[in-house]
Amino acid sequence: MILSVRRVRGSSLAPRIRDGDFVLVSRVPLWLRRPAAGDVVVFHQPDYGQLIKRVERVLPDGRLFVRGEDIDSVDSRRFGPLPPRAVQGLVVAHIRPSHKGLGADS
Amino acid sequence: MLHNVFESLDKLFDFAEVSAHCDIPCGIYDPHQAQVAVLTVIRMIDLMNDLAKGEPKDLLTAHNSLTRYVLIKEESAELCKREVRVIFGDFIKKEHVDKYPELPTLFHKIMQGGSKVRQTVSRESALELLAAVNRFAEIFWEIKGIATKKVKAPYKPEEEIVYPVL
Repeated sequence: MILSVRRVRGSSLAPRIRDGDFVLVSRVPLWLRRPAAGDVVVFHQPDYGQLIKRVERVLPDGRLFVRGEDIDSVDSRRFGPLPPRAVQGLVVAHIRPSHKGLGADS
Repeated sequence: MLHNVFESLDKLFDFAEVSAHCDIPCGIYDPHQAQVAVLTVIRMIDLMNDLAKGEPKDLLTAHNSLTRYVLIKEESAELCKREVRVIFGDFIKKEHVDKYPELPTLFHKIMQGGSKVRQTVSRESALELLAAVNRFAEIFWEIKGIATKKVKAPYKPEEEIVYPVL
């Protein structure tokens, strides 16, 4: 996954990334560094499939604690921290509809 | 604009999806539970007053009833706060606050009122909380473009609540 486009479904990362937005996902940054807190990562989770979440913190053993913004988000609080190898790529760009750009972080 | 380009590309290439998954299907928001929770609080206060003023019962039975009322009052007040918090935190967006500038104050009033009805047995405080939650419900449905009506709940304590006209 040098560079691929994904469409986001669901609102657990809203208002940062909303349902229907596109993200460009790349593995290249991971050749240079490990995922860090604040990165938005795409990964495969055995129970929930292809997910997109924000890395909240990196545990001392290297595993990643991922979170959504929404309190009902299904994330590491449910399925535990991720092994770093589960990460398929980092979000390197984010495309949202311009008419929705009302939020302060748009 | 760039998004439109990607929309067109999506039709051509059908990009894979990644899920920003939520536990409940996002989009299910309804202030009704908060309203019912406040009605429950009022009902519990009424039952506590009935117990205090009514025919004396044996001590254990009275304690048992009182404890149950307090417990339900505590739970319901917290449920009301939780339900309103989820709607305020997840559903309400900046543009809604711009349109209804009273929202943050109203939200704060509900949070404080929810605690006050736990600390006291004041029916007046509970009615104030109900009025605030009703106003919150009114704004919520207005944002959704759905008209509302005020009706008396068809059960005790028979106070007025805001219903959507569906």
